[in-house]
Amino acid sequence: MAKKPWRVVQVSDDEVVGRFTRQQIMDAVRAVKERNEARKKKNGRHPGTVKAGGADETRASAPKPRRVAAARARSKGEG
Amino acid sequence: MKTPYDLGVFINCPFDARYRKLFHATVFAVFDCGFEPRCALEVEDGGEERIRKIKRIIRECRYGIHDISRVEVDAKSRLPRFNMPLELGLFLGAQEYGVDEQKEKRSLVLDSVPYRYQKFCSDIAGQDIRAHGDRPVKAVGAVRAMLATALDGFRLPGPTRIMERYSAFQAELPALCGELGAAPSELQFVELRSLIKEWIVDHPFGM
Repeated sequence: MAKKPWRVVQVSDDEVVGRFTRQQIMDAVRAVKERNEARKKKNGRHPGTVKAGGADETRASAPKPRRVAAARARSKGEG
Repeated sequence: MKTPYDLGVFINCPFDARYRKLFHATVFAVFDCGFEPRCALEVEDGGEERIRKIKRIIRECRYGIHDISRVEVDAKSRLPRFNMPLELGLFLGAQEYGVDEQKEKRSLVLDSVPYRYQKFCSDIAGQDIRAHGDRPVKAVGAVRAMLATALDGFRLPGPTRIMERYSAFQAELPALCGELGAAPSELQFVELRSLIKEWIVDHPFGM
């Protein structure tokens, strides 16, 4: 007698996902995307991108002070 | 045609805050490669015995990603955790002793340091074992490499591109949670998984 294959459960189409419905999650993704696209259209760039040296440069992307000091020292021939 | 079994990827890793960066990047990479991440966190059902739940998920997944990097002793209990090696053993056992599609199981074993497994779990030599150095981009690269072999002739983006997309998702996560009225730290695994999935559907490659 042929052995039965293992039972396979479909998990990807669950209608309720944790505390939300799948529709709520899809709506949230679309709403954020549309908001970002509207902002991008207005500003000419994606809100997540940072202009180097720009006014809104974040701390994470800004050059580290020690690196700046080292670069200055190198340019003066002190490094 | 791929069945849910062919697309299922069982993720066996630590679920603590220290590992979260790697875990979330791995979940994202699995989805971005077109597969379905599964793990023990997906069912919060106190009625189902934990080991039974894990065995069921293993049975439903063709692929397994096993991170055995958490070998140090716990600060409080002074004991190491054995859950990851146990689940790796279950997965390899299913491949060895299971029938039909279970024989087609494929595993990726991850550790943080290259060749360290030889000192604490040398019997797994011969498996696909990669070191990620606790860096998400390296874990994503290893996951992508394993899953790419399953996609005949289908091109996948490189790990750097997947990480760029993951960073874009992370940047939007607070706003996504805001829309849902939840804090990012409060998200359950199934909620995060669904958010990632819908985000990927809405942001296909090349967009």
